[in-house]
Amino acid sequence: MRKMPGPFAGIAVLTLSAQLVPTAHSQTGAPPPVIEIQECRVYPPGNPHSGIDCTRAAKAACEGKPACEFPIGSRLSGHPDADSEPFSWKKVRVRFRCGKLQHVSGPFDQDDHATMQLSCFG
Amino acid sequence: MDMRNQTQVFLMALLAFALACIGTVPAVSTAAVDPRTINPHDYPSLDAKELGSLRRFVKLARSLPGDFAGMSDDLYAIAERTQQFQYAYMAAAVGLIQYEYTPAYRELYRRTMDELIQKMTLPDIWESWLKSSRSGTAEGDPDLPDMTVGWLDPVRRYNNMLKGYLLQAGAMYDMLYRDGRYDKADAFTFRHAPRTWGNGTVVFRYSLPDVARIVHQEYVDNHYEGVLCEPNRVFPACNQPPILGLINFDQTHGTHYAADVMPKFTAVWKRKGYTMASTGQNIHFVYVRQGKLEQVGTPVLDGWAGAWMHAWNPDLMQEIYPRQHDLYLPMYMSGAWARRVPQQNKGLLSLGYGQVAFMVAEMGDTDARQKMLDYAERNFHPVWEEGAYYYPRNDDYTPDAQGNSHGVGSWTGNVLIALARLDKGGSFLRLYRKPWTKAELEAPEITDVDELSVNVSQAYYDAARKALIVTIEPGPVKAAQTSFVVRRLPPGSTYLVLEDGVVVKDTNRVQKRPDGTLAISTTLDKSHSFVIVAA
Repeated sequence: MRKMPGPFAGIAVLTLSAQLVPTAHSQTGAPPPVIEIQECRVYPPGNPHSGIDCTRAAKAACEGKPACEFPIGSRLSGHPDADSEPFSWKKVRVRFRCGKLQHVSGPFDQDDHATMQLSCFG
Repeated sequence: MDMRNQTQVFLMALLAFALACIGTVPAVSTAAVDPRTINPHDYPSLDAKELGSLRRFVKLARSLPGDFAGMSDDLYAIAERTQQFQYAYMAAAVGLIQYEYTPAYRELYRRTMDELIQKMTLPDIWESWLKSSRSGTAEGDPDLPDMTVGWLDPVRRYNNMLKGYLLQAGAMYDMLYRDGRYDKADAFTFRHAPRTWGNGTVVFRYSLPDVARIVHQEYVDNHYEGVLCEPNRVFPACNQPPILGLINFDQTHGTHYAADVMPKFTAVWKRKGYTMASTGQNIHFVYVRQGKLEQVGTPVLDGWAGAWMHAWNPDLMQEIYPRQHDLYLPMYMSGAWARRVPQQNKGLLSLGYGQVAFMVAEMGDTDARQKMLDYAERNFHPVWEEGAYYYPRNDDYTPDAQGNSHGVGSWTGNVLIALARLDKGGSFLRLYRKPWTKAELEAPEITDVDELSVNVSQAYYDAARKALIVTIEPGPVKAAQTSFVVRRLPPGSTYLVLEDGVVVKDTNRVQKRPDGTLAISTTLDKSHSFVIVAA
């Protein structure tokens, strides 16, 4: 039998695990994983360690939920970027956990019309 | 004649005029219109091919997300691909039919326009912006060191190749239906959720007022020299739909965006020479940062700009059009265009044909319009398919023995030639100059039409004669009988219903319902015209 090429095997494992996660929880009766916000930052492009901590806002929107939407507009920093050039738009990045799995969402441009979608379901 | 006699003559003339008016006005303003004097042939109607085009638009609007069958194009020079433009132009065409031909039948058009607009928010359509936003040295900005990282949000900055058309279509929908659908914060929702690359899932939500405000601000920010279609580039062609969108938006929202932009943009057009004195063609585009005009005119962009510009600036188009007509028409009618096919961009040839055909139609050049439609009928192999009429894509651009090409792209074959057929001169100019008011919005209409078995070729309310004129025809799905409902007839009157000139007395076929509506049933053996008029 031919061996499945590496990348396809990876996709298959990912797909399988994504399908198994909720099934395993439902079979064991354990509660489904929920979002645990670890860090949220709004920062200038190219300087991800500076900027403003938005963890509290992210927690308010998402903490303890299996999935959520988190608005990433100027409310997070109080400085709308509407008039600035695209490449100076601030970035928003969120680190969160679902059980033991670590996730990152972003960086996305800070944007009054944008919401990040975080999810523990694959 | 002395002064006294002059006065007497004037008074007698005035009296005669007043009597003449009294003699005619009652016949029009009271309910006693002789229904036999109302001839459906005197009112707008769609012919078979026009109905077929409408069915093509409806079919493509109803495709499932991700299904773009029949909309492909070998036109990779347009980075956005042509599907987004096909949807935008079809939405405008549906709005045009609604406004010009069948204002008293709305349910089909309202749904179809909305479906076509929403197609433009599918990732297959809008995510091409991710590439265009990255610009680059060859096309976007020669002074850049490299492509940029770009940005995701398709509305926030530039990209009038998409948002200008969303504004045009959304504002036209709002002018026609006023249901507030596009005022909602999530009217245009773009979801970016790839699972094999990127930084996660993000959603962008905009309302029509958001888009109008942003577009207007971009005109202001760029000193009314035009909104940017992509980073650093202003095309005259892509600046027409957003202006038209602002016109309809102003009409429904009480803003003055278009009123601000139109004179200033026109002044820039003339001052900067967006139409080149040397050839009479429009410039290709402006490099904004460099202030440089790319002075290469093409039929694609001239037709693209011209049809829409006539709808808001007919005076300027009357100046521009004659030289472009003389340049392009002989080329297309002789087949010379077909011998200029560059293999790598052959689709542009068909696109130019379609855009110029649409332009000559909107300009009211009936002779040129008819020639281009006839040429298309002879050479582009139109088909009927489940009641839909269109010109299927054909990549055979090789000239035949007579020098004609049979090549046609989907944008041209699905909608541009249809627009040339539907627009019998200044149709969009009328739509933008005379938006529907409360009177049109509250006028009687027909509903509950079975769109599979019935074509509605006429639906027009003549307010002066209080008469609703409706013609229905058998559609692609055969049925022996059908029915429709007449709504919003002015209360306080009884109504006569005439079918093909004969009063329908059978109360089983015309039923007045408790809610004041009329239900009318008939056979579908052939076309039937109805006149519903106060008795």
